Amino acid sequence: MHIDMDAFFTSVEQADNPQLKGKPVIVGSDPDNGNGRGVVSAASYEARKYGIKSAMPISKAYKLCPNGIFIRPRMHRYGGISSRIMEIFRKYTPLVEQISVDEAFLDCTGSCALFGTPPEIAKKIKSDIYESTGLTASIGISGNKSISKIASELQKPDGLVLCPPGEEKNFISMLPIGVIWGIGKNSQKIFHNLGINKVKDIASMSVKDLEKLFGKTGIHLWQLANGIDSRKVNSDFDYQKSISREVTFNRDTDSFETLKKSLFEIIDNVSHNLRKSDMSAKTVFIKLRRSDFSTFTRSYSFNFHTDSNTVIYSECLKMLLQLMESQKDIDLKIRLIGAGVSNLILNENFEESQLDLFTNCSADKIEAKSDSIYDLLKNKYGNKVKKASMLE
Amino acid sequence: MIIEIDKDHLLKSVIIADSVISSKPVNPLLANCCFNVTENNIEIIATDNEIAVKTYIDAISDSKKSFTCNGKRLSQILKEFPVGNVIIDINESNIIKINSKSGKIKGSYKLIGTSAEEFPEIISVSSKNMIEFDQVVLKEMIKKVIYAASTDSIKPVFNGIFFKTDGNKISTVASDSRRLSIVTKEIENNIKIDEGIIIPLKTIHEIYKLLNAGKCIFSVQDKQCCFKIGDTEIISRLIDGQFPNYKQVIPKDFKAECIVDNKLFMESLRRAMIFSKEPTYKIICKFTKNNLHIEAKTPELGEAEEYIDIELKGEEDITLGINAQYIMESVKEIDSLGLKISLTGQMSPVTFMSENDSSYIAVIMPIQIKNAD
Repeated sequence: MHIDMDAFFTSVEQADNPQLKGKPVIVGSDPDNGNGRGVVSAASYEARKYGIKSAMPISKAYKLCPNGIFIRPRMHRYGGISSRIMEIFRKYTPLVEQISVDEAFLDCTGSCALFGTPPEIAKKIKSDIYESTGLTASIGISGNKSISKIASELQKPDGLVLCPPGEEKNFISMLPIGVIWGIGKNSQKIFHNLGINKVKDIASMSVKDLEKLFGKTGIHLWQLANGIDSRKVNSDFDYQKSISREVTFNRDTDSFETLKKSLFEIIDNVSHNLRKSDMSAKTVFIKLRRSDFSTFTRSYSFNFHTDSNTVIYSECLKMLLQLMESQKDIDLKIRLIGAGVSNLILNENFEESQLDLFTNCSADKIEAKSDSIYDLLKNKYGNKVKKASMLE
Repeated sequence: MIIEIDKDHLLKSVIIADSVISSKPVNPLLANCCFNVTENNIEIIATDNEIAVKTYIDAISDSKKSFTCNGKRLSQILKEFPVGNVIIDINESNIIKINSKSGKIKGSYKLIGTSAEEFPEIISVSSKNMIEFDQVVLKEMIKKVIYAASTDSIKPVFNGIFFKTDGNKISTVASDSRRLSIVTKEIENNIKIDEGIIIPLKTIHEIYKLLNAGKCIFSVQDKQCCFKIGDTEIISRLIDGQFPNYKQVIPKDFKAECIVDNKLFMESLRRAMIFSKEPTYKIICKFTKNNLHIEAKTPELGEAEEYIDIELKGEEDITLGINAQYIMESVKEIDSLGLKISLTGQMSPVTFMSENDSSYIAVIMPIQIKNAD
């Protein structure tokens, strides 16, 4: 069973403030009368009618719907509601795999004797969620994860779609290939160029041809297109895969000092949050977006896990330098810089790892100490606490 | 053309040359050894395009000729021949007839050869920038570091030994980025490879096999190096790339230092590491004022612990995880009674060297362990 909350962020806003109900609500950065430079995080169904989608530049959304209600995201509030919803899921089965803030897989095979058939359980979950939060969810039910996820999308909002056992292949055969988990924009392009538009076309391809096109993923895609998915619901799965922040500049910049300063602030925030969640990261990444919206990323994996601000920052700075150097011929200013960490583990699950001589991994005690004092102050006094170089 | 030669001499030279030939040569011609025969010697050449061997051997011949043939086949047949001279007769179509001079073998062996026309020319290295090495010294400088080099191809600069001069000193360095070993010796000649060169491991293995006693000559030119050892020359490309700044990772200041009895330490380690598991062979070493506590624990195997008396000079106790196999490989190259272990912290390099000689240093990076506080 796959459960997906309907327009989660905006629905929460509408539930908290009933005046917003039935109106186009857009959660995202400040549109600043159409000059805003961030992006849309979520759009209510009313706003979607205007063509507004998530990840769209906020200025474009403003043009499409200048009378829309633009709200800054309140991540904390969404997180709270999310935990309440996840608790409801766990009432019905312990096998809950949360894959994002508003989405989860449930394996109810073992709880049917207690709570009834899967559709009955789904109805109960939907009414529980509505009672507790005033929000609606869409649920897809089938024998495997992939089909359930596809099914939950089919009747949004407030949907409930069942794919009977044995019908998996037929169920998805006429759908566009984009519904398959793992077929993104790039793969879609490859398929479209081959004249392949429907799931059934992939299902009838030979595994070998798919493997040639996509490597191992090709075999997986063939299985999914044929309604086969043997992945289990993994209740140990920790959905938080990365922590990152982005800054869109008020004015496009080409000053390295500005980029460096923003990067410092981003990493300061990211590493603080990392330590706050008691986690360490193995991979760091940066992202640059030029004025023409072309986006470039770089990432680097340490062979150890770290939560040290200095280690993360110095590696990101190195990548920024390399990226700028490799693109010094590009004469476009930069509108956005982002950075973050991924490959996270909880510190308690920390793996022992062989350290490297040449990568500066001196997770030095002094530094770890200064990080922890900084965290302590920041937790107590909030964002008033800043590093000297971040003072205006 | 007829050649007469002692079969064991020829066999030895063919084996030396043939050993550089790649098992899957890109160019089929390079599966063969090339023989350049003159009236009183034979030059045998083999190459895999990365490394080339030229070896010379005395022989009596009635004329000059060049040809190639499969070295493995030739050495196999020579091996099975009776001791003494062999007569090799090569005709115009490069068919090589081999027979024993003794006449003990009744019959004939004909090996198919090819013309040497298309065999690549191997240019000898000029005599500029040469160094005369004592073979024993060079062998030691290789032996003491080679195990630390990396055999996986992730970072090519670690797939070789780094040679670098500094005034009248020359160092060999090898590392796989988790540990590093370095030997430094004084030299008389004024070779200058201040930038350093990285010689591929394959070349090093070939050289190592040849090193014995007496002097050898080592020279560097452009992206090639050449070793002349006895009657054999090995010409090799160098590994491209910058060897990392190894001096930076050899600690100079230590938090704690101790001298342990080398033999006792090795024995304890050998016992304890039975309870560690590959590939990390993790053991925990706890250095306290009077004790070195060695511990190995593997849930499904069991556990081991030993104490060794030490006198630790330093402010604080240090506990660290480390790969016992790495220690074994490094410390076995130290032959003094006392072994000096120097520590810089739980997450930073550990240094091993002889108590009274700093010409050989092994640096090993610890394994991050859970109780890191």
